[in-house]
Amino acid sequence: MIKKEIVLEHRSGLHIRPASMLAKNASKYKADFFIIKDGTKINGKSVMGIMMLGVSKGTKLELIFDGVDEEELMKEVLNLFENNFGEKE
Amino acid sequence: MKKLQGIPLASGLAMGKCSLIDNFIQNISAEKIDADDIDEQLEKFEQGIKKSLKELKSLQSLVDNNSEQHEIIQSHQEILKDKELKDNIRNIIKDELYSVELAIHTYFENFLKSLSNVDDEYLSLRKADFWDIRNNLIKNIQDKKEMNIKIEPETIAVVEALPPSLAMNMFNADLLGLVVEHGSKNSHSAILAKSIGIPVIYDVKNATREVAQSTEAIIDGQKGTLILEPNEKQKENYKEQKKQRNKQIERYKSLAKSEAITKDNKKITVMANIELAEETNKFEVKYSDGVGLFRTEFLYFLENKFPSVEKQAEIYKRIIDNLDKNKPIFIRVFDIGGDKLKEEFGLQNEENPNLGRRGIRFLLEYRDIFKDQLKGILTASNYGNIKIMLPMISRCEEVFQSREILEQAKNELDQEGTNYDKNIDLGILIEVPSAALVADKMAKICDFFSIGTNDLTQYVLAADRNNERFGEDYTYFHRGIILLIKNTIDAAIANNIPVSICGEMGSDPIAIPLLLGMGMNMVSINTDQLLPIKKIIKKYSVEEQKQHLKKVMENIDIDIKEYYREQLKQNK
Repeated sequence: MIKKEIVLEHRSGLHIRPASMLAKNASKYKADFFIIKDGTKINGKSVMGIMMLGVSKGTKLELIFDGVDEEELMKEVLNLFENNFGEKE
Repeated sequence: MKKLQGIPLASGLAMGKCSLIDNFIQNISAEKIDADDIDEQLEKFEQGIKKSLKELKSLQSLVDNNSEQHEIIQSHQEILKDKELKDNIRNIIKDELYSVELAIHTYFENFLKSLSNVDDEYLSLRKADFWDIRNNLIKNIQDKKEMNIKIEPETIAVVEALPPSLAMNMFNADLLGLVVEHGSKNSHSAILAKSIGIPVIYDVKNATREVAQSTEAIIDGQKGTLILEPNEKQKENYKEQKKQRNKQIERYKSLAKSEAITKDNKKITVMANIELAEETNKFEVKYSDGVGLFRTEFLYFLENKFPSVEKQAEIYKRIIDNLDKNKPIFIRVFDIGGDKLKEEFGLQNEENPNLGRRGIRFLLEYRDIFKDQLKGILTASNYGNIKIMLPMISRCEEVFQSREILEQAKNELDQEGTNYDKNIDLGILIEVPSAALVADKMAKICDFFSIGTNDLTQYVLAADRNNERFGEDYTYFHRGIILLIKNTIDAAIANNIPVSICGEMGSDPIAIPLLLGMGMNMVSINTDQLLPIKKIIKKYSVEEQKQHLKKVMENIDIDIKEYYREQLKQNK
């Protein structure tokens, strides 16, 4: 299991487009993926879960990757966050 | 007095009584189901999800690849596939013994409530998407006949949400305005609502709660506001503004009614590109010289299949009824394939769909679909001046084969005793380079040409028009494209058949003088560009433009786009 802490930099928060992108890409992997915000833990492979968290810019998140391909999953997820989900700032 | 703010969708200003429209959400029964019915409800849910996904896919294939709308439709599909959503709704059905509609409603209600705790403005804006997803899902599960909608004329209608079926009911309802509480402006319903011809505002928070039956209000579609119980001062204000806007609309109308005549006295026929029959309600379209391109692919979307002959005839006839009888209406038969509706017809396995079975190639394979559409068009042709336009023609044989099918359609109508225009015109889109190169031959077997500049540009320059990387580098200002368009126009004139330009180029103010110089005398353009282009045409002289064209074609150093951009600036 790997844990990572990050702060969301994306200007408009994890709205419907980045949320569905995140869930879709994470679902390609076998490992579990959870996101924790202020003690609430949700399944990171679910768009509805991510939306429910209500992640706006500057929010601190804890990411948990757990399973055989957790390294690859983590790389993919962090990459999405770093590249602002392909959106221009 | 209370002021509600929404998103402006269609402009206009009106004052009157509000009427709340009972929509389908209120038709959901709160009664519990029997435990024996659980499986049936679960099955209904599966089918509803499938139907919604299919609908979204078809819709997605009809919008631009790189548009925001395309991505949002993709997100909607991801949400419908979400395991948590499905598990949750299934559990509500099983545990609470709710009907599937009530379970979906409850799930989204809880979800949206939890969203409203989020203070981020952008996130809460996105709520509209969830309303759309929920409503379409419920709509796809409910039986249509359960819907019982009463719309009171001469009122400002207020609805909680606007599914496409309800939007269709608004067209001939004589409403003053329309207020939608939840909905995304990118949805199919929004596109429909835009063309009703009344002020429409979207995403007006708490609208249904605030508007008790018959509250007086002022709706401003340009500002996106709804003023409830306006005070005297606001009413005075309204009257003053209404006067001003009416004057402005009169000015627009007289521009719309005026003919597009060039400085050297040449009349240019200016027609509209439309996608929905309802768009002919707009005065810009009504007063234009006709419909130069009716794209019919959206017809598929109304029922997730191609409508019957009778239904199609009714839709085509609606366009005739809205325009002057003599004005031409060019109907492009289904342009399926490429990226449009490919999965529905098993075309998804082509390696290069834009070079695959699209347009006429598809229709010559699916002859029943083609013949039915021709029968629909023929049936309507009895009432007006309709013409048949074939997409993606690259070879003369395709025209011959299409004429054969047209004859079959005529024979069948003869047997049924249906009247139609015996001499209906059949013409082609010039959008494949090979057709433009042999335009002189094509002109002998066609009744007209319409030049589709978007596909022509993409095929001549071998540059995918949806590829963002290319930006402005690959445009119709290329000398090769100009030569082909010129060749096509010359061939049409020599053979005495009409030729028009449809596609982006005709809606581009910079390209207008260039096209005039090539001898274009008919153009069909996007509805929002109709008035501006009419204005621009009046500023140029065809004879002068012929000289300009000669000059730019001879001098390889001239950047053609820059040259015409400069001209437009000077003519401002």
